[in-house]
Amino acid sequence: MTYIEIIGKARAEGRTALNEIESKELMKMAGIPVIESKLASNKKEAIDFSQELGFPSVMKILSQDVIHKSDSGGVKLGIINSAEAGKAYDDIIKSVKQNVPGARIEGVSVQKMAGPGLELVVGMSRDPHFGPVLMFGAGGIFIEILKDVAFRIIPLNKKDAHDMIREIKSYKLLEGFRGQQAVDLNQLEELLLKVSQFIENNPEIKEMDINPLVANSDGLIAVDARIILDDPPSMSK
Amino acid sequence: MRPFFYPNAIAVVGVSQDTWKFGSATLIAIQKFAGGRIPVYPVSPRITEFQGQKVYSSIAELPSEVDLVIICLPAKLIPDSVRQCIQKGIPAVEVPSGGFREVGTEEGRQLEAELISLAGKGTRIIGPNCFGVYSPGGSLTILPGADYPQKAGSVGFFAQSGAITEDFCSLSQDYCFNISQAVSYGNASDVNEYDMAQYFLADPRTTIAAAYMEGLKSGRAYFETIRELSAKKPTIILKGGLTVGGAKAAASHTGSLAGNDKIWEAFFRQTGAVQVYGMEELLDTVSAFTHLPPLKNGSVAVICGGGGPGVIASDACSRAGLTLGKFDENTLSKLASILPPTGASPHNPVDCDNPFPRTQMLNDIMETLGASGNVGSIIIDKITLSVATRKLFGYDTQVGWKDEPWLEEIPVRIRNKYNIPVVVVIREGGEALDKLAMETERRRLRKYYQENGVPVYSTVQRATKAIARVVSYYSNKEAGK
Repeated sequence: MTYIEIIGKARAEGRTALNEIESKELMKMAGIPVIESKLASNKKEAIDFSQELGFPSVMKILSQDVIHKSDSGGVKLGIINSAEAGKAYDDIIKSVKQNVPGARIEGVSVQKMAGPGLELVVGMSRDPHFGPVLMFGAGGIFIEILKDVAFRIIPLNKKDAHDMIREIKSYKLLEGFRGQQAVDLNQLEELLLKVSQFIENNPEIKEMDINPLVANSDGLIAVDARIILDDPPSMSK
Repeated sequence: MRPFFYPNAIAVVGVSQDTWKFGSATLIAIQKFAGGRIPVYPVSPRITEFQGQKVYSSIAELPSEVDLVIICLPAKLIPDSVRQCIQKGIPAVEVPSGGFREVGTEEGRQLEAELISLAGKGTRIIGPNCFGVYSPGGSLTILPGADYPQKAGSVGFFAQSGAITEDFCSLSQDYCFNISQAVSYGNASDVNEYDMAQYFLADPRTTIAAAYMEGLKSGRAYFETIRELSAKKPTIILKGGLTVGGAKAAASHTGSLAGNDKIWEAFFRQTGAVQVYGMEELLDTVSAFTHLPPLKNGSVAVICGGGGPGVIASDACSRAGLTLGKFDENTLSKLASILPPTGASPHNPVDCDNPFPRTQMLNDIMETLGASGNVGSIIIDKITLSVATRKLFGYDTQVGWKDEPWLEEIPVRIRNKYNIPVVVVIREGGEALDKLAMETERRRLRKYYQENGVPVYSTVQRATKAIARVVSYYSNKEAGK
C-alpha cells in the first residue's frame, strides 16, 4: 500500500490510530528500519507467516479497542515452531475475546522476534508552543521510572541529534557498558534525523512512538510502532 | 516598526488635568525625557489646554507629522481610537491600558479580539496591558522613566511585563550598560515576541539581546528567529512560569500558557540562547556580555585576601563550570618571591594573606598573572581596592602607610596592558546601615570599574556564574560552526 492508501483507509474507517503494521509500513517508506510484520487473519496465515518470516516469532493482537496488549493476553513471544504458532494464534484470539468483550479484532500481527539488545524509545508529540517535538530515551525502567529522556524541537539538525543522544543519563549504556555491545551512534543519529524529516513531511501526524527501538548486533530496528493522526479535517477546525 | 523607536512626533491620547492619571503622567515623562527634541502633543476632547500647551481635541485633528500615538484610555474606548489612527494613516500605536484578555472576563476577551482584528491594517500596535517603549536614541521613554539614561546603548530588551521592563531599565544603571531599546509589549495583540526578535536581529545598534518571556504567540517562528539571533548576537532569556506556581501566576498575569520545562530546556540547547533564572542573573549576565570580550577560555585565576574566601571562590568556579588555572613553574616562583613568606600562597587561588596587600605587591601579582598566559581571566575577591576605603578601615595608621591612588587603577591597567578580562568582587554591607561613607565609595568604585570594562559583582558566586555563561556561549558558538 502507498502512503495515501494507508492514511485513506484509516480515514475511511474513521480511525485516527494506525495499527502496528500500517505504522511500520509508513516508517519503512521513510527509511526507518522496522521488523517486518504481517497481518494474519486466520490460523493458517499465522502459521504460514511465522514460517516465512522465521522462528522464533512473535504474535500480537491487532485491534483498535485493545490498548494494553500484554495485559489482555494479546501477545505471545518466543514461538519456535508451526504447532506453537497455531496454538498462539488461537490463544490470543480467545484471551482477547474474553478480556475485552466486543473488541473489534483485525487479526494478529506476526513478526520474527528481535535478537537480544538494548531497548530504546523514540517518540513524537506536539507542544502547544513549538509544535512537533521529538523525544529520545532508553526504554524499560529508564524511561518509566527514571524519566531519562531528552527532547528536541523538530526539525532537528545534525548537532541536535548528536547532542540529544548524549544528553540522557543512560548514554553510558549506549557506549557499551560491561561488555555489552555498543550502539551504532551514527546510525542512531541518522535515524533521529529521518524521524524528524518524516514528521516534517507529514504534518497530519499528531503522535508517534517507536517503542521499543532495539539496538543489537544487527544494528537498530523498530520492533513496535504506533502512529496517531490528527482528527480528520472536517471534524477539526 | 521604526516609528515605535524613532518617532518624528508623538501624541498622547487621554490627557487630563490630574497629573497622577496615566495619560498625563506619560505625557509629562516623555516631554521631560525628550527635552524638546521631538514634539509630543496632548490629545483630549475634554480640555483645551494642559500646563500651557494646546490640547488637540481628536486624533484626526493632529498634525500629519505624528507617527506614534500612545492611547491612555479605558479599554472600551481603545478599538475606536485605534480605528481613528488607522484612518489617519498613523503607522505606530501603543496601548498601555489594561482591561483586556488578562482580566478573564467575556468583555475583556471581546475587546482584545476586536483589537487583534484591527492589526494588519497598516497600523502596528504594541500592547495592550503594557508599558511601551524606552528608546533613548529616539527621545522616547516609558513611565516612570523621565530620568532614565539619555545615552543609547547596544542592549536590546523585550518583555510582556511592564514592571520587568521598568526594572531592567532602571537597574541597567547599576551595571553601567546602556540600552538601545526596551520594549514592554503586554498582551501582544499585534507586535509580539517574534517581531521583537526579528527587530533586534536586524537592528545594527543592538549587539546583545535580552528578554523576559511568559507565553508565546508564535512559538515556532520565535524558535527559528532566536536560533538566528543567538548565532549572531548573545541572547539572554529569562523564561518565567516553568514551575507549577509560576505557571499559575503567568496565567493570571498575561493570560499566558507558560509551557513545559523539558521542552524549554530543548529550546535553549537548540537555539544557543543563554537561560537565566531571575532578574539578578539576567542583569549579571548582560553586564558580563557587555563588559567582557568574547571569552572562550574557562580557566580562571583568583586573587584573594585570605584562605577561606579562596576556598569558597574555588568552589564557586567549579560549580559554575570554570576551572582554576594551573600556574607554570616560572609563574609560581615569581609569585612566591612577591608574596610574604608566611600566611600567603602562590598557588591558585592566590592568597595575599589579608585584604590590604601593599599596592606594589598587588600590582606585581597581577603583572605576573597577566604576563603568564596561564589563565583566560582574573577574579579579584576580598581585596580592598581604594585608598579611601582603606582609610575608612583605619589602615592608614599602619607604619609605612602611603597614599597611593594608583591602587584602584591596577585592575584596569592590567586588563588593558595584557588584554585579559578582569572581574572584581566588591562586597556589600559590613558596617552599620546608617553609615554611608563606605557605600558612597563602593558605588564610585563600581562605576569606575564598569565604565572601564571591568565587571563588578557583589559575590564571587555571581561573578563566576556570569563569566561561565559568557564562556559557554562563545564556546558553543564555536563548536556549532
